[in-house]
Amino acid sequence: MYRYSPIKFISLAGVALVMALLCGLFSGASDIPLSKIWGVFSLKALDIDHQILQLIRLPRVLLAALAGACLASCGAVMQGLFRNPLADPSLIGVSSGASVGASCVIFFGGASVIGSGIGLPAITVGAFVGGLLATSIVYRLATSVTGTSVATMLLAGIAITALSGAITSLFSFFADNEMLRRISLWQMGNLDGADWPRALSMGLVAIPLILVLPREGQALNAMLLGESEARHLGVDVETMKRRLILLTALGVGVAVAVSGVVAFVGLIVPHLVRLIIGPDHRYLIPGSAILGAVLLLLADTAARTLMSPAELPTGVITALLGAPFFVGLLLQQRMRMVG
Amino acid sequence: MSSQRLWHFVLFLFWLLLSSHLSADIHVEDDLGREITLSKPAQRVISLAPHLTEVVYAVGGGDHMVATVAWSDFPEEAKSLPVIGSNNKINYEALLAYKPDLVLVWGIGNGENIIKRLTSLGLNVFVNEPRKLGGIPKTLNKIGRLLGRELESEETIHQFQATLEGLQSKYQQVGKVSVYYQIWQSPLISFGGEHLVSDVLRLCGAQNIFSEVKPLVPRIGVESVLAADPEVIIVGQYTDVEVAFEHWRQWPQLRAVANKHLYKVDPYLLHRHTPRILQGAAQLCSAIDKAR
Amino acid sequence: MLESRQLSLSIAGFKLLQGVDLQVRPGEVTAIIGPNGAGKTSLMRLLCGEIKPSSGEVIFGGLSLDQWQPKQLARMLGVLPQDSALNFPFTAGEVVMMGRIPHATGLAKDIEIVDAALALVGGSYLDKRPYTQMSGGEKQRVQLARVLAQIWEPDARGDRVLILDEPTSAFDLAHQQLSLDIVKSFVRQGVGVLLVVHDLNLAASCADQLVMLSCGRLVAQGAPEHVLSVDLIERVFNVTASIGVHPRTGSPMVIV
Repeated sequence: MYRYSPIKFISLAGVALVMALLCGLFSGASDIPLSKIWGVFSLKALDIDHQILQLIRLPRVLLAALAGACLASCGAVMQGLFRNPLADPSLIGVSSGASVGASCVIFFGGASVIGSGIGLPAITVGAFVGGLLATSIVYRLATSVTGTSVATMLLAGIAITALSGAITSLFSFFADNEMLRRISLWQMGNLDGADWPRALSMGLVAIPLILVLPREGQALNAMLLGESEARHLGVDVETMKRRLILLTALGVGVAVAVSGVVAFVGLIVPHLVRLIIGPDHRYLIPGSAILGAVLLLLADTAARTLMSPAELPTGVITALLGAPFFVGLLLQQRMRMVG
Repeated sequence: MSSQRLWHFVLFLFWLLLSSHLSADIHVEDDLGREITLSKPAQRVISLAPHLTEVVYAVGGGDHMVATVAWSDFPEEAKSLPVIGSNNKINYEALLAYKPDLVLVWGIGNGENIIKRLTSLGLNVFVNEPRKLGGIPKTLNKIGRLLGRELESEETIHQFQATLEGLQSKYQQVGKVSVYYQIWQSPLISFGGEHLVSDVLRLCGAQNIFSEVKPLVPRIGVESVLAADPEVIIVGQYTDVEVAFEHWRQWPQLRAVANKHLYKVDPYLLHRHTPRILQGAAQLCSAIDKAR
Repeated sequence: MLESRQLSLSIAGFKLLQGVDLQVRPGEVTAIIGPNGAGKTSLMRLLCGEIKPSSGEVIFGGLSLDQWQPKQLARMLGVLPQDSALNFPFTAGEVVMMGRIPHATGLAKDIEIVDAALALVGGSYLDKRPYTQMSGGEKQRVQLARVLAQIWEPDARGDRVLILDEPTSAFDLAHQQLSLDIVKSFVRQGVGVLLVVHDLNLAASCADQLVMLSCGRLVAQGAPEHVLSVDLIERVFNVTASIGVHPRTGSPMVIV
């Protein structure tokens, strides 16, 4: 099996990230020449082009990159923690819990709260709390004296996801038309709400997370051998699991809160990176973060421009782009093993 | 059977067919091109959209309404009608229990599945799909005929046409104004060119900046509004009108913002395909006219 | 070094182990034998700290197992489980390298030890091959190399112990012999080895001390020729056997 050197891959992905950032920054409804790029950094807005760059495109591009990086690296961690290459943060109920939290705020907060300045932070907090709550319920259900059983945890995750779905539906049932629209639009993946507060709150969580998670790489590698093997290699398995579950709940919860449910990035990106550079988490996590950023950036740029001036939900594009790509890679992998 | 008797029998069948055809005196084609045939004017009507409820009252058939759906809030009498669901969720058992002889359906509002289900239940289903102002008198006429209220509906249509012509002549010669019409703030949602509101904008001598967009109710980006730089921004939202104004005031470069042409209109009037839309149209047109 | 004191374990009211006292001494091979369900695996899991006893304690290097820092313990106590469900395409080299996780000896030294450990188990050719595509025997050799790399060098804090659960189950005769020779070479360095095996003859041929379990109790402990008696085997395994002598090594042989 041929593998790319991780360092080479990460640097190539880094170059791709810069290009994707520029691509996202300079495509949109109005034509802005590349020469205006320096205006992005100027403190006083010079003209409308600079304002569009500063107030619309830059926060959106940053939000897409940060959310993509956050979702993908959390996905990589979850796949390691569950020793399942197709695990996903949504498996432990973060996404669905976040949905319930956000719907809850929309439902009980009503138009007055949502319309005012605290609307977005309130939904964000709601989504995060919901995600964390769901995760801790699943975690508690699955943890006994002998440790955390992955199988029980996945089953509990499925149950919580179903329950959250039912609660969200119940909210939708009792909600009036406006709330309904808010809930459903929010669930679709909503990067077009990008502004500086959202981008900053995502960055505050994503950047420390992306820096901290690769440190757990060795321990996660050992976890892949098995929980008891990891314990015999000196890894404090229970503490590590608790820490990682909290961190991923935080990362995914906030990502879901500021950008809606963008499916697929957390599942596919780590898998792709593993196919390219191998399963070593010390490189897999940063590699996934960068590729996740690139993927979500490109998907969002496509969502903005394909049907311009109308916009598509970003989650639709990630699924449309990623699924065939993923299937193709799987087929290629299988042929290589046969041939 | 002798050939003569057979011949008589065939003639008899023919007569049966003909007479039944003659006695079924109401034939109406709905907006999907399907023919609705009623042997007598509808006595028990269920409407599955607020605007259709309103139309029934407008043609004087309010007495025949037996049930409706949520949000049917005009006229005042309609509020006391039993509710058998919302636009996309219908309680079929409740619907059947009212024994309707006519069900009025809103094509895109209720959706294909509901239409199919109701048709398969053997009900008389009239599908309404209004896209243009000119379609409103047609709807009035058809529903009036189905209810046997031709006279009342003629009266309503006459008033509608008169008001429409008044508006048309008033805004026929005016200069074109480009308009951004917003119905939702987060995310931004507007109307496409096919939507009824775009037609109302044309009536006002205005051009929807998203008239080329195919989806009826597209999500759009801030940037595309900035790029189009409309002369007037109209906010037709049920809530958050001030939030929308505040949001657009961040962009003083926009002509609409610089010249303070940000207006709100009543969405309850403008977004429903009923004769009252002309009241909304008058509101909208005079707001836009301030920009000339 | 590694010893258990009055070790008992009960789960959901079932007494799996009762009052087991045993000692794994440096430079010796201790083998746990006994019929299925006698508690061999439970005892092993207690001894390596994977589960906690209901009563009694496990002492390692003079301290209770709980008192050790996990990292420090891992440098001195290597455990090879019976089977490892690794579903990710790590190469053999990467798997063996995981044995160096508890150590901080620097990459160059780690690579040196990983290469040596792989060579020792005759697996150098597997270095760049993905684990998921290896045969059962190859996987077991790679896992053995990983555990060897973990306790490759003497530790300043005390003697090293190697716990192996059925380490030869997937091996053919040649590799069985090779792995036992490797284990013995570590024993000569002063490593204490605890084996859990089914095969009484294998146990007899390589162990200095046999520990026989039956129904959660320790029923015999001592040199193979003392423990393996017709009487005891009849009582514990419910089988009438003859005891012979290995023509070359002189160790006892159980013939059924």
